Amino acid sequence: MTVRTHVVIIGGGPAGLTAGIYTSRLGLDTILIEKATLGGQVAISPFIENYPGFVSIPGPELTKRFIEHAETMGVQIKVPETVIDLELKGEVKKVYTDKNTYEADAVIITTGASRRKLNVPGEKEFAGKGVSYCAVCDGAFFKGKTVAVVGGGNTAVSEALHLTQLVRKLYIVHRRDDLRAEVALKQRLLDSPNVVPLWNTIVEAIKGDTVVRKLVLRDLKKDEVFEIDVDGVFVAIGYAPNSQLAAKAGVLVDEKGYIIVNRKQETNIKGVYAAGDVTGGVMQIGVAVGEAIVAAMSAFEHVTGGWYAKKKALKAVKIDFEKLKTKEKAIEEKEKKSLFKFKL
Amino acid sequence: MSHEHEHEHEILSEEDKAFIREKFEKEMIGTVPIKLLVSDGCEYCHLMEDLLRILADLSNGKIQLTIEEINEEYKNKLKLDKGPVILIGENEEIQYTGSPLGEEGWAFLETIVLASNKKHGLEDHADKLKNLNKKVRIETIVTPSCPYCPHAVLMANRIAIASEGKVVSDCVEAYEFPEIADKWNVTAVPTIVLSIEEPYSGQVFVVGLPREKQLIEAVTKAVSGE
Ligand SMILES: Cc1cc2nc3c(=O)[nH]c(=O)nc-3n(C[C@H](O)[C@H](O)[C@H](O)COP(=O)(O)OP(=O)(O)OC[C@H]3O[C@@H](n4cnc5c(N)ncnc54)[C@H](O)[C@@H]3O)c2cc1C
Repeated sequence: MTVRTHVVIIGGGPAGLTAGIYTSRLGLDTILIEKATLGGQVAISPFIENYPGFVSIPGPELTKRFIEHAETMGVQIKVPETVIDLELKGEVKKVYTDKNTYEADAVIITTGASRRKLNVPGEKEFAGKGVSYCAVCDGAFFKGKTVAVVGGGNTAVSEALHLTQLVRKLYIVHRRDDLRAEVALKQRLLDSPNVVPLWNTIVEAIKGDTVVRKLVLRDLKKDEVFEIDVDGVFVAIGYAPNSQLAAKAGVLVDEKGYIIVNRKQETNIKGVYAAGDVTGGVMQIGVAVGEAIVAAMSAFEHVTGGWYAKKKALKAVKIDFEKLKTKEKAIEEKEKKSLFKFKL
Repeated sequence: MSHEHEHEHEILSEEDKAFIREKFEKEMIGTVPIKLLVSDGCEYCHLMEDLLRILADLSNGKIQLTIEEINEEYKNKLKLDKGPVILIGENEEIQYTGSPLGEEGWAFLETIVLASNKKHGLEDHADKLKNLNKKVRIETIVTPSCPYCPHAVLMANRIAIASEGKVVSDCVEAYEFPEIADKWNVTAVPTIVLSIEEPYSGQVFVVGLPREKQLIEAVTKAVSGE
């Protein structure tokens, strides 16, 4: 099926959902395509403590608020649906997914970033058999067991903090001699009684039988190889941008693969914008949200030819305030209710 | 002691109930049989009993709920000896082994609606599923805190509906049924296991969320033995 719309947003993380809230409110028909789960990385963040307005909020909870907001504003959300090809150079942009084709005047790319793999022997073999990339999803399989978290940034430390509440012993394996994470997170982790940091250490291999049993590590200072017994390994050593499709369609990326944008979040192709982690820089929710707002405004200018010269007939922006009110209540209630809450 | 009163208040708020009632009223066309199998000493059986009674009530008779002790016949058929197990559909083609709480909640409601309408809602490639000549079981192993999992489960449930009885979709909650997760060495979710029922053979198809087309192809390939 081919669907014509004003704007297609690729990726339903905080950047994509925010861009959708804005373009919808500006009266543009907006389709948002997400391949895995709305909320992107926030959906699997144990807690967020630096998004203004929330002293501490679980990632899944913030995600639900973003989704409710986008849905209420009329964003048409397609999930799960995967974008597999792009044609961006023409006036009408074409977005091909595993299910449909979309034609749009503007495309906003908010495909975020994926975890980098360790690329060591055993990682592939034991994926899902001890090797994990989502502590929120998989943490409880390791209740009372020994795990290692590999990495030293904010993601590694917040996942490790989540895991310390479940596991018996947690190694944090980091190639430097200090964590790069925020002090507020770092101190809490290092003060946890069941945490053993292994500084200046890298992973050389993951070993096991039917499941993971051992990590082969190298102490970079002593230049010695040693092994530790573990039941699980959580990998959080950094990110790689999800920009391959865009690059293939002619969008310029930097040497690390991040999409190059200017202050209006414009890419090198007219009518194509990018925001959030896929553009690199400071990879935080607040930044993704801010960039997405700019991208949405730029897309609006492009589609309508500016605030006053509306070339296209836009649907009347109709926001049902009664519906909004009940939604707000529903969100409040959801925090209290147990059907959609975690059992653990 | 009445369990209904013990939980009713916390399972669903009045607003949730209103939302679900409206959803069921608008979207459910036909009726759908749902059977809950319970057992003694089962942690979540009472909660599921209460939840399903409320949902049945909100469906205005469209959910035909039966609740029974898991008997020998089911124990043998399902290779399970405890509850809660939820069986949905005339052919019991959709199974929840363990309770659909947490992130699974919304997809469970969606499944009830789909099963009542006998509409699978798959975008494409669904025709192949009607002519399978062997029975296939899709086991999706989940945890209640995994946001990817309900998408995988819903996909498998749609496939089960589209297959008209050839495919059984079983959503296995890993914390309540660790023995099943252990059997397949699962430590990351969702993990999808495909099994041919006779002669029995099964294997992990994928860890993570596949595309619809990939899962449908894997099911048809499992049958043809390719
Ligand atoms: C464990 C953890 C803890 C964190 N803690 C914090 C914190 O405390 N504070 C903070 O500010 N930030 C935190 N972050 C970072 C924050 O989550 C990211 O900066 C933010 O999510 C970036 O948003 P985004 O929308 O750009 O990308 P993402 O969140 O990565 O979303 C991109 C989306 O695009 C989808 N996608 C990709 N390719 C395709 C395709 N081809 N078709 C369709 N969809 C596609 C992906 O599935 C994904 O859902 C944390 C991250 C993690 C993992």
